[in-house]
Amino acid sequence: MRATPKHQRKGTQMAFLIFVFVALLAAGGCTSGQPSSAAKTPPASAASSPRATPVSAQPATAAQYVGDKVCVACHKEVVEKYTKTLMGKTLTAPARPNVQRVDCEACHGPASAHVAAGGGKGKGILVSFRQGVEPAQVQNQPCLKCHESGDRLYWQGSPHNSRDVACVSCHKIMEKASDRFALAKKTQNDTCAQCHLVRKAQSFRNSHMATRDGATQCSSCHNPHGSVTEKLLKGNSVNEVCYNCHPEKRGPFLWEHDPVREGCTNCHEPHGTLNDNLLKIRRPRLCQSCHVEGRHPSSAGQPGTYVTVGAGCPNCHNRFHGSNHPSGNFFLR
Amino acid sequence: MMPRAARVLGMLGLLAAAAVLLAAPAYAQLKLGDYSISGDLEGGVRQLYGERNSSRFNEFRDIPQGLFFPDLRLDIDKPGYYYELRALDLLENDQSLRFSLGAPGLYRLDLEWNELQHIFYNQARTPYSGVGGNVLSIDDFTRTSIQNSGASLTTNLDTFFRGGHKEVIGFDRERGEVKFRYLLGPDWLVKLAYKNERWDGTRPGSYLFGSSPGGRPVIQLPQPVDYRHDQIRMALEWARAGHSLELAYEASIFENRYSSLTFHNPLRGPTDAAATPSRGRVALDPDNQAHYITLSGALSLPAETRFMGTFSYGWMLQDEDFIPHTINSALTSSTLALPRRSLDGEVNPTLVNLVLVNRAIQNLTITGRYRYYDLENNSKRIQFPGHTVGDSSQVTTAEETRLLGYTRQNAGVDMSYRLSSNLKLNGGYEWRKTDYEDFHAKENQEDRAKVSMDIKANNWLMIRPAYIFSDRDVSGYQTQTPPGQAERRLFNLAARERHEGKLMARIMPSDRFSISLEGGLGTEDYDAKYGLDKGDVWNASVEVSVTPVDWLNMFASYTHERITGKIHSVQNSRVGGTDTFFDGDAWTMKFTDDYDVIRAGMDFLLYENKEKARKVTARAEVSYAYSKGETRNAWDQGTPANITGAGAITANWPDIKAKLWVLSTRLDYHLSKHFSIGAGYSYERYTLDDFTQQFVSDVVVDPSVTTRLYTFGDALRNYEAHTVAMFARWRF
Repeated sequence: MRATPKHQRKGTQMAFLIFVFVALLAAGGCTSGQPSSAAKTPPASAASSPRATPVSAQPATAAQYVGDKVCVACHKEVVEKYTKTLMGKTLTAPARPNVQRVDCEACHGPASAHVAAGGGKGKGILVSFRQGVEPAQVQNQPCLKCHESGDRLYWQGSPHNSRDVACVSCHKIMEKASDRFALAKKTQNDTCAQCHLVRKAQSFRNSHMATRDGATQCSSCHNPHGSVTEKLLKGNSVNEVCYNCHPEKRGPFLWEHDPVREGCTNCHEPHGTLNDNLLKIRRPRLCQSCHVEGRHPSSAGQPGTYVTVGAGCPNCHNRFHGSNHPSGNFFLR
Repeated sequence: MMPRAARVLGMLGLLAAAAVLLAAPAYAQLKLGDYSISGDLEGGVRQLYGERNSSRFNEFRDIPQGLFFPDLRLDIDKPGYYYELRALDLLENDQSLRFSLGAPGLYRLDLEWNELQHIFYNQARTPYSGVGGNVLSIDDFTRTSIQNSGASLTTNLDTFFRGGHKEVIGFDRERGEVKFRYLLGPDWLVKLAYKNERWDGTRPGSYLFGSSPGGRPVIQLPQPVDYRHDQIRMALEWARAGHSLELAYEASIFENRYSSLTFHNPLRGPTDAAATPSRGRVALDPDNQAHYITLSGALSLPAETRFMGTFSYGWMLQDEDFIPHTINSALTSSTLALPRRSLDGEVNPTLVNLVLVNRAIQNLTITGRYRYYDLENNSKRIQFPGHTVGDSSQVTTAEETRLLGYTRQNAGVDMSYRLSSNLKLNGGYEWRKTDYEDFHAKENQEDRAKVSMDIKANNWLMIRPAYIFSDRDVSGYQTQTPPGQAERRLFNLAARERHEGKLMARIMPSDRFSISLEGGLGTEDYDAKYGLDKGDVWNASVEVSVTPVDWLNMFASYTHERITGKIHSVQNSRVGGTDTFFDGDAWTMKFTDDYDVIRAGMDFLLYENKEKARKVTARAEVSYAYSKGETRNAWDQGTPANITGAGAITANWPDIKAKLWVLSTRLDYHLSKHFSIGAGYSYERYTLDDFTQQFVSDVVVDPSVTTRLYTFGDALRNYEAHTVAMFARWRF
């Protein structure tokens, strides 16, 4: 690290942030006296959730647990489908001590009132998981008891969480609708397109990623459960996401191009455009958004000249993403 | 790349194994001791018709004729264990396979294989030999003949390039991946992943000899792609109810087999001359690697508070040896001695992300965020005493590299309050500051405010309108001379005001009927006399899904998006060796891109006999995508008489239009619970009306001008394809 005052300041800032980070973790560790994962103590752990009760849409009841056998008596078909899912196989017949059996009521809540009412949709059930019946926060609570680490670490406070998206909006738990990840639709892209209609339409554009062909998926770049970067991107920055598939663009290069180093999305619209190479604006106009230097960069350009056809400016300045050539200062080499 | 024959043999072996398993009675799920086996296998025959010899048809996909196996699934279960095999588009250049095995509560192993092709041009013409390697050559006899053409030089050069042989410009990418998760105990999880990717083929590049194309050719060349990319991730996670901590190490190592591309000059050779080199040489993307260490954690605090945080530090490294300034032996200035062997490049990204969510007050959620991202460029700053331009001239002016880096901080708070079960109000503020190093600005700051509402009614209606305002200021902008430059602002740094409105709605009066709506409106105003001035976007989308009867499901959707922008610039003339601006040479470009996509589909259950488990199903889906791009150019000062620099003269560019029709239909007859046969037909039509493509449909872009741009002569062509298929599916 270069020893300039600015970097010394940065070092101090960094040290402070790391201290805050570690201190908060340590503080949490000290106050943590709660029992282990909820999956290990069903179904009572679901009912005792501290966050489920205050926002419940259902009135509190003195319902009792009735046990799986009672549920299966009426919901045999549903349970059969569930036991064919990976989660069903894992939780209905756990084979190892690390996983304990999780009954229906661990997620749905005690069912005695439901049984007493003679069954039926929405009768006496604490959590039905039907869209809109309970607040998303209530529906999500049973899921988060086991699924709040790893990729779901930033779920709380994430855009989808704050917009009341329920886990079951995207995931189908009780039967297998997709190959992986218990998705509500057959593919990831179809699942996301339930709400993101414009993004789906963008994949039909002239210049597009292989999303329409199924080779890239929304989750290739985004983590829908929350992330450390805006737009739910999976990397630490826009560019660090792009480098996963385009590592040749990472450099660092001897000669670098400002907008490239700052962010690929300065010039590219990754969801699809009319312009080649997913460019936001046609070449050479994209380049001319910034370049007003002497002579040809500021030429207004007639159709058919070497700057308006083919690759435009990169017809000559081909190494504009960065060059490692000693004479690459104009990205010609 | 694995030979196709080997892959075919491998896949046939796989299928043979599946067939052995399938040899058991097909009327029930197969049981072998403790193992229960189930799955699907679909295969058939496919025939294609129509005019589909366009690189766009196979841009990212492979649709061969004859036998095809689009789908294979195999599930094997044993108490305490499971095995899964999934294969899509078997034997094709875009196939993907996955084999997973797991012991719930103990481990899971995934092995994945994935292929993808990317075709840029399938009828490219190039006179160079050595395509795919890093030396593109023209034999000396031919070069000498062209050079001695005298008055016919240009004609002969054109003929030479037009007579090039045909090549496919594109590459195959193969990716293998291993992922392993092992539960060490109730709270500890180890995650390991390794991914290897290889790219093999070519991609288009174009280069020139000299500093500008005047009189010298600019040539489109097949640039070799022979990459290897290895990624490793190792993580240890500890998790208990409400708390988790993960320490991870990631590495990404990129290797390019070729560090440079050498190409012969058809106008000179075999010996060099100062102004006309016999060869040109360009540096290709250098090998590089990145390493990251990341610590992430979350914990539940008292008072309904949750904290989440991440600290990550990385190293992006690049230290490939420089190639010399030029391959032209006639350029011998002492200033071309390299001051260093390599860049010794190092960029260190640091991330700190802290989020605190509090729900202590009933119905109120407060989220506080702080994010610090620093991209510190610690590469060596190098001053080159001189350099060459396009291998044909040398400049003795010193040039120094820039060490681009920046630090970005975001801090904000969001609040949402649920007024009732039907209404939630949300608001937030975010402050964003970026400090730049070696950019044209020192820093910019942005304030962002947002409000939104969530309206719900009786479980069948959800509406979410939102409005976001942001205002960005820039300071320390380093203006340049002459005056026109001083008034130019780079759009990514410039002061900017932005308004965004969004609307999302879902109406579901019943399980059989739903309407989804999404729309947005955004405007951006940049504070720049020259450069990007305005950018607006609006879009609207609606999707309706109806299931009127049990045997019919229908959907239809329509999306429109309009993107407009305005760029203001000024032609910069060279007067007496100095860049000079004349007001009359200012010009404006306005662009409008319109996009329309219509989709509709139906699923039918045409016949069903539940006793015999027989049914006939049909599916049809159609989509039409239309894009149109307008480019309107104008002089600010009115008539051409006011124009000093010829480069300021312009005209409206022809509109660009692209259309894509896709129709796919499928009929399945389920003869039993386990066996079905079917037929399918699909139709695709793509048309592109793009003046830039019309110009490159000939190898010589414009024979009427001296400036020569030699392309592959392969424009993106229209296509119209019909695909007919018959298939059978075995479910066991």
